[in-house]
Amino acid sequence: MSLQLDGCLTPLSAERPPSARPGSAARNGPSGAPSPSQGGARPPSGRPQSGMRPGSAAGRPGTGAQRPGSAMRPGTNGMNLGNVGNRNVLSQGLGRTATKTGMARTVTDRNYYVGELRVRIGELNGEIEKMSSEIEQFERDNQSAIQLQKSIDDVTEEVEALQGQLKDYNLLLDRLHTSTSSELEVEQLREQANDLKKSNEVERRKADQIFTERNAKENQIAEIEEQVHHIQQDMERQLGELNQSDRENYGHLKAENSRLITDIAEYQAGIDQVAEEIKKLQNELRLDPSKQKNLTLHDELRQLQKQKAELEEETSNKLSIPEEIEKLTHKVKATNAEVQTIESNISTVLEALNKLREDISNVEKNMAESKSERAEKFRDLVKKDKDMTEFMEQYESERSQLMEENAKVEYLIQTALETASKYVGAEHSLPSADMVNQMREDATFKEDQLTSSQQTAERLKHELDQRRSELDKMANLDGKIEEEMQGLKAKIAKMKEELVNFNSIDTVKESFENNKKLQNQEKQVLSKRKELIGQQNQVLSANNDAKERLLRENESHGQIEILEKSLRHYEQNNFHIKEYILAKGKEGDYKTIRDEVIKLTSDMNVQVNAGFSRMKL
Amino acid sequence: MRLLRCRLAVLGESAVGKTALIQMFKSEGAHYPKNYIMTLAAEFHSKTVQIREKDTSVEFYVMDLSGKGLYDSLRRQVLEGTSMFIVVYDVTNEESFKMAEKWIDEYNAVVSNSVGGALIGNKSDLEERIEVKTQRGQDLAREHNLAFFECSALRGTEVETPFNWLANAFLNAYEDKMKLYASLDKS
Repeated sequence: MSLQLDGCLTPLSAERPPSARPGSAARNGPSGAPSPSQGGARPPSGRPQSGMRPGSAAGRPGTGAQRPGSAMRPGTNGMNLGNVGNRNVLSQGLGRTATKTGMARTVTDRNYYVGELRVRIGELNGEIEKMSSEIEQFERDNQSAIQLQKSIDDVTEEVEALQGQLKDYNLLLDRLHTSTSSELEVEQLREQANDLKKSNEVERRKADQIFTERNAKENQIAEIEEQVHHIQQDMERQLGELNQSDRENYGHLKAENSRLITDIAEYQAGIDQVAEEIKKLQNELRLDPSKQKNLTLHDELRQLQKQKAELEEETSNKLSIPEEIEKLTHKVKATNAEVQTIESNISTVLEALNKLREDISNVEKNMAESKSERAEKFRDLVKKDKDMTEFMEQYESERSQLMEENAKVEYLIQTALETASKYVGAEHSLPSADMVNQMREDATFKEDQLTSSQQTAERLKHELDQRRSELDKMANLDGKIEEEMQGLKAKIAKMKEELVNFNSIDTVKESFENNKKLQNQEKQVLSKRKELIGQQNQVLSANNDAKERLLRENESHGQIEILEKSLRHYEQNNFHIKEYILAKGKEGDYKTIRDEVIKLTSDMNVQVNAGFSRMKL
Repeated sequence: MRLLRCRLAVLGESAVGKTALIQMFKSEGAHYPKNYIMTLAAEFHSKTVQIREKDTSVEFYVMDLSGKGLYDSLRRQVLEGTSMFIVVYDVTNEESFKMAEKWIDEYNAVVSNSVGGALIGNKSDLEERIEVKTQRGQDLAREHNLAFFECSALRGTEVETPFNWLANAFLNAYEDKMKLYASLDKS
């Protein structure tokens, strides 16, 4: 439907070649069936063909008549108005028709185009002016923009700096607001600052003092130099007063002195070199284990030699026993005195320690008051305390070590004294050397004898054990021998019995022969019997087979077999049924209950009878 | 090692468990016939019993006879030639016990010189259904000079004992006879 309208109402359709129309007009009926190229989507029955219309006569003149023909279109259009209501009015349709018709009219007017162009040119000029003014404005703005950009940069920098400051302030404020200890921190900082000021002051004073001291020292040096100068002057003066020989002597001595000074310097250098070499060699020695060992051995040797010398000295100065005792007692006394002194030292050290502890406590108290000033002192004291504690810790072990050593020495002295006194006592009752030698010989002889006697004792003990074991064996053997004897006796009796038979060996042989004959005869009989039985067996089995065959052939046997089978089946059923009945009978056995009931009723009857009899009475 | 052969007849009312007893004895407790199958006339089984202390074996030829009256005429033929017998009754069946005496008499009527016999009360496992007390069985056995046993073929209890006793009895009888023959020979 829309296609139809488009085809009719567009201005282009009015400009169609006239040949198209006659073609369509010439069409009639079925031959005029629309083709797709001719807007053939239309159904043939959509509307009446234009050729059939009264207005479109066949003799219409060419193009001139086309307009009126096309003018006829509104009629055609009017014919389709009935369907307009079915369309969407907004998308296409009537509105459009009106504009198209208007356009068709203006196209034909030339002035319209001229006027239109003029208007357009004017509009373009106006537009160009507007744009040029805009460009100018833009350029101006651009210039001012550069300046503004610069100012923006400056301002942003300033803003950033201010923001940083603001952040700091904010942080400070936050801290002040949030943290309660901030005031304390500030106070601490102030205190620290004051402490630092004070320490600085002290340091400054110290520095001033040092400076003054330095000045004093410099002054002293200057004075000394002056004195030296005076002395030199005096010396020169005195030298000048000296005679020629002394002056020469002095010159010589001076030259020698200078030479000796140089020599000393040279020797000193040589000594230093040698010392370095020694050091080097010692290092090498330290690194070399064998040399080190050698060195230690040398040291030991030296010490031992020293000890040897001491001992030799002691032996050379051999004292008598009482003198020795006296000496040792002196030594003991000396060591005791040493111990006492050490103990007194310990007590003094302990006192000092206590004092120091007190001091430490005092210092700690003072430290609480003024931390910064006495921090260093406190550190020193702490260090001292540490040293003292270390000493105290080691004190006990050292003391015990010393005490142990002392005890050892005392013990040694005591043993030495004991041995000495023993020897002193035994000195008078000692035998002579010959006697001693004889006694030794006797002792060795006796020892040998003792060992030999011990060996013999052991040997004898061993032999005794052997004999005992043999005795046990012998005792056991008696029983065995008896058993064997009995066995042998029985054997003898048996053999004697047999001997009787063996004596009459001929009779034995005879009986054996007879027996053999009898056995052979029996064997023959039995073998014959066996044969006969075999034959009989064959006959009987043949008979059995024949009978079996007969039996099988017998009809009544077959019937009997069938009957037996059925009987077996019935019996089986019968057995099962009987079993079932028995089982059920046992289940439903009321005999016991019946007996109980009868007993109960009889009892009741007896009681009722007794009651009635009582009522009658 | 001696081997003695003994024909043994097993008698008793039908369905008292004769075949089951023999089967259990033969299979040494391995095979028990679960379903009842009636024995027709007679069935033959053999089983050897060893008597170790005497170094002797007794081979039993067991005649399993039907308890039905149908085979009365045939039974006589089978019983002839047997040396020993067993009469079985059902301890849960009073009737079977009553008939046991009849069976003993029947055997003795046929075999006058039997070596010995035994009376066995079967189905001792059915304790709640027992109708024949042990004492009655013992009394009956004593009356007829028989050994008495109670067994359960189903459970396999005391199945071999009667056969062992019969084997010993047979051996003793044999030895007695041998001694008798020996004495006769000497005389």
